[in-house]
Amino acid sequence: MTTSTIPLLILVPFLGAMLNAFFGRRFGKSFVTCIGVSAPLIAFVMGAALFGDLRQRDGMTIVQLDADLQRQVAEQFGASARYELVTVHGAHGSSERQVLRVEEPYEGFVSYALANRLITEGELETEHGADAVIARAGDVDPAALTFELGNWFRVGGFEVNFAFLLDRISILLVLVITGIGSLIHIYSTGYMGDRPAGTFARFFTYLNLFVAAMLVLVLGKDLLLMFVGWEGVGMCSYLLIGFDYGDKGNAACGTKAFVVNRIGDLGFVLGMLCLVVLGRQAALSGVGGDVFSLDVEFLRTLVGHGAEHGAAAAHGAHGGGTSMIGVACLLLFIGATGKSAQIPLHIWLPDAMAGPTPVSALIHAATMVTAGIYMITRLSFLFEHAEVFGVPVLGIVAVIGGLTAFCAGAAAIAQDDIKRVLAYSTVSQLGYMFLGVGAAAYGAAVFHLVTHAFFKALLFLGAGSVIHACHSQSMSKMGGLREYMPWTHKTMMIGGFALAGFPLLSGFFSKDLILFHVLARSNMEGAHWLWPLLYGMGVFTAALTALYSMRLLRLTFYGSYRGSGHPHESPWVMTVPLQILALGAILASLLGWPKLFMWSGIEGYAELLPHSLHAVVAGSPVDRMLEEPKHWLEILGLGIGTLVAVGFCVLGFFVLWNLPPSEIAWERPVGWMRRLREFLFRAWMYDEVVNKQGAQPAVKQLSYSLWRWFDDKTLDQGLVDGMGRVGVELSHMTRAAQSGRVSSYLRWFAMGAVVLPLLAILASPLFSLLTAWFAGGGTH
Amino acid sequence: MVEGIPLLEITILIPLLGVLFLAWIPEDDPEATRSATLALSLITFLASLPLYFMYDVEAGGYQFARVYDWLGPIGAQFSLGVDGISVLLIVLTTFLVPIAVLASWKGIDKRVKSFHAALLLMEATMIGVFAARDLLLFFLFFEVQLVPMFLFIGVWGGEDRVRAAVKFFLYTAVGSLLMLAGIAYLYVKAGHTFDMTAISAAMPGALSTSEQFWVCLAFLIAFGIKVPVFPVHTWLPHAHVQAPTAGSVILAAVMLKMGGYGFVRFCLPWFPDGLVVEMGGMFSLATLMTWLGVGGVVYGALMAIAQTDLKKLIAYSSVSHLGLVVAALFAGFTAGPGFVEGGHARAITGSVYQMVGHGLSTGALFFLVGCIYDRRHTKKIAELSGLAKPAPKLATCFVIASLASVALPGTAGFVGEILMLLGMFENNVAAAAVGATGMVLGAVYMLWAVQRVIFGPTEGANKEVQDLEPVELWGLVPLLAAIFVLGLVPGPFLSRMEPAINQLAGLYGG
Repeated sequence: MTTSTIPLLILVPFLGAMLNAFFGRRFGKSFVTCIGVSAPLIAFVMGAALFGDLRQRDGMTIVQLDADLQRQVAEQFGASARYELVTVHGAHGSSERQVLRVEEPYEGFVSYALANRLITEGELETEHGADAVIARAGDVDPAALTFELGNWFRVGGFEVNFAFLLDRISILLVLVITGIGSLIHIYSTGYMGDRPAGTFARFFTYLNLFVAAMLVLVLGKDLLLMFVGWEGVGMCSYLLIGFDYGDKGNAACGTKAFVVNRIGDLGFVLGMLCLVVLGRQAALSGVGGDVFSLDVEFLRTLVGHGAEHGAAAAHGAHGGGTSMIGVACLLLFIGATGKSAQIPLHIWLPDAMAGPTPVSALIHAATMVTAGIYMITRLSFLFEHAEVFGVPVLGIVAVIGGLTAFCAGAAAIAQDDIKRVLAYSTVSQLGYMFLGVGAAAYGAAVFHLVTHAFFKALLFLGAGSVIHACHSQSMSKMGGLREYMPWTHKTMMIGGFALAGFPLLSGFFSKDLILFHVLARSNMEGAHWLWPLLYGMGVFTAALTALYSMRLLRLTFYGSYRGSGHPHESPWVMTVPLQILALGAILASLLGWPKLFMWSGIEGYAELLPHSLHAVVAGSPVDRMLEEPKHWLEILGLGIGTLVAVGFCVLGFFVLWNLPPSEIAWERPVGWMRRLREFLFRAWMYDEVVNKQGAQPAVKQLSYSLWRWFDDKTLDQGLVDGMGRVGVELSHMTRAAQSGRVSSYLRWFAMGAVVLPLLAILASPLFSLLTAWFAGGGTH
Repeated sequence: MVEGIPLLEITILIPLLGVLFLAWIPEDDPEATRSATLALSLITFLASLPLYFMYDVEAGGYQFARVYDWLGPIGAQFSLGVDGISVLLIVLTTFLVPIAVLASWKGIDKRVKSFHAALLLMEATMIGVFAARDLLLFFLFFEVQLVPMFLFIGVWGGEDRVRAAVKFFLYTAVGSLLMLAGIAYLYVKAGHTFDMTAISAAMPGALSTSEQFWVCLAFLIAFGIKVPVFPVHTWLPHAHVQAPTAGSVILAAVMLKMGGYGFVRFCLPWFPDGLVVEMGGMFSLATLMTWLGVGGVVYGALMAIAQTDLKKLIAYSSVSHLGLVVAALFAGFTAGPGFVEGGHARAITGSVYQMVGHGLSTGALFFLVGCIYDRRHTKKIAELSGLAKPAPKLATCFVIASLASVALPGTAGFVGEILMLLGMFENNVAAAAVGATGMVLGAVYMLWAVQRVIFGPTEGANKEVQDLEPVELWGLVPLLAAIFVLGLVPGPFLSRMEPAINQLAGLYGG
């Protein structure tokens, strides 16, 4: 696998989309299925191959070379293909340079290099007590591949390239997107199977296009390229939410999703602008030449720079550079709240459920909505240094995350629509991820992102299977499906318990790792009182999660069937993806088993995924603390997690289980319970108060009255037409002057003879007076 | 070899002689008229391509320049020449005229010959505006192109066409009058010449600060009406609503850009002191234009939200988009001591680029509204619904054009907008932040319109709507393709503009 595979990864689903767009309708459904499914599958295979490649590179050594040696190296090693020249931007003020990547073992290279005077003895450094080891450039990750397709645009010193970065985080996301994406594509061939060929082709066109855009988002090395994907997935989401556009409501939900996302994107754009200003200042002071960009490597250099040169007078309003990074990160985080449905921009996600269910599984659970977490993790080196008015931006991230997790979790309990339960659950779980990111536990957050992708995709696809069978999304019309749909039942039970954080399932480990980091933060010296509070909220939310998961399973699969018709199990193209995802929901836990559960010999496999990310993300203070064996905190965290999950699952099992279904559906609650239910059903009334009764009518009313009374009546009909009317009136008046009477003309002539010379005398001083007043103001 | 071929003259003459050629075609054969005009405009487009490809980026400056004697006694010459900015706008013009012919293929069936003659006359004068290197010649072209547009609206327009045409004409005439006064003043002060190169050399020294202020104000009003800048925009919605499709396409895509072009060509390089001097100690013309611009972004968008007529909605969206284009040109002057030369250049580059990008996306939108009107004979949003079902191709094109209008990355608008915001942000954070809200508001009015017109249930007469025909697709597909080409490969276009803009921004560098 060469690095040029990276753009191919994006091209394959894009080509799939184009083929289906132009030929899908003509060649029929089997053609569409073939193209639509094979595109993400091919991308997945390519991604897996690249993953293998990266794993191999993990053990490589980086050799730094100065410029004139590069040519020699290229000549000597040209044929062996065991090395690679890479350009990196140095950190902390050093300029761009070339480094050489050599495969392990490198002894052969060392002797060769010394013999051929490519490197002198002096350039060899001793590291970690080993013998001669070639200098490791600390800021270069050997397991990172970059590929530059070309320049997008360059204006002045500002440069944007089509550059891609494949490293430990992005490959992980690539595998999730294409892997889970492929399963969802396969499932969709069954779910959408009864649609006409044109609609079927359109669906797969959008779906493939989404995969391509998501890959651009994840692989983009330049923030602006990432933004291309960021908006691209938003567009696909918009098109897929309103997929069944014949219904007025669906189209409106799509518009709402796009507009709310755009509010976030405005933040993203302004954040990028702040970074560009910082970058230009850095470029002016000689870091990296006169070229500046939004390239991630370049942005890395800003961190050190911001502190030194930040006091640029021109941007005094923002204070120094450090807080300029702070403002930038806060604005970028607003972008993340839009895409990842966090308070205050979470309102679009529940409505996004108007899209077909596979779309909800792929876009609104597994991939797109996690883009915010990915972006912050990718830019963690900036967020670590981000402060606004002395408040760390990561703290704000954590608070928003914790708050969202709790509020959405509470709302999920009261829903009747099975997809809305899952939608609020997704918002809530994303909140956990932000809580993790905010606690600087990037590894834990990404781990939860992966496990959540498995079990939430599974739950959505299961829900789709149920909806397919019952022709209803209302849980009060379900029940007892266990007997009709054995596979859907079994797999969804696994998904539900994983979501509830039941011990040993994937959701348990990932959620508890996040909560553990928050707990550990509370236990650190000088910890803010918010951390214990956030931990408490997290645990309470875990209890809510267990409750609504059990409620969903209970209402759907147990009791007796309350709907109409005869539900049936879905075809194999739908159940097989469910089975694979269920397996994933169990096995994904292996990516992050805690040290506590490991015995000697395989300790190296503990927290596999979070640890592997340490090379690319900023270090967490908790990690540093954990280097000392402080297991009691881990035991406490896991203990609380187990107790809450098991306790509330059992509570759900033994208490809710025995109630008649209508009571659990909260169909006939009484008194304050009813009011609470109503309040939570409407998700804390937020959307109604802020959006439906607030922003929307306000903007419409403002627009309408401004247009009606100002633009039309005042400006156009009043001023403009008024001037016309004045002209007409004046002409009427002056027409009288042309009377044809000589005596009248003579009178005018006499008046002119007096007034005009007077005017000529007075005009010059008058004019200069006027000019001095108007234009001279600035000059004296 | 190329030196000998008068390329610019040829591109102006082909459509002009084409008008005479059309006279040979019998009045009762509209099909032949349309084909002949299409062929002529395509030849013009081909003739303009060498201008783009042979423009020497390394050398920069004005190329293909030629001077002929014209009005000798007063020093006016028939002087032509193009720099990177003009070339881009000329190619935009010649690219759009064939599309305008295709856009009116079905809609125009009365006085077909006169219609196409007017269109060709308009093309010649528009190219002339962008190619003129003599102020009086510029003014001549600038004024003459009003006539065919006046006829377009007044003869082939909608129900209220005469009022709209008169309003359009008078509005612009007021601006033109002021411009003529400004030109006359410059002529006297800059050494009795209309030669723009000579005036450039003489300016800004030839005028005192307060003289610069007044002359600049005259130019700003003239071009501000043309763009149009809030609050002198009220002619635009009327003109657009009444104009035939081809008229709207040309008006939005090219004619409005003459205002922006005028700012870039005259106001920025000639009156730097007049722009920054503060009126009555309060604020400068540059500040005024910047805030009218970004104010227009918000105002135009709010107006668009309120509209019930699809065409009017798109007309107001132009006010919003072009507000940012204007603000980006002037924001650099409002920076004060922290002025960033590179930022100013980036903003101007983005601004010119967006002129082209907006021309393409809004041109496509007006084209599509025309297609809808030809089928449904209404532009009322409330009467249109669910067009995606009977007309999927039309719907697809409309959605693509709408997304291009909201500057989705990958389209031309994104490159222009991000460069403008970037450049403005470096010099005027507040104006950039206000201007950026257009991102959100644009999505509101545009997608809301799509939601109501393209999506939703299909009822009544909307069920009978025919999908796009090949002749319409021949016009739309190149238009939409160009949007993506400019969005994905902006390099060659930007590099042609770079020398001109660096020179412009360099004037204030010291």
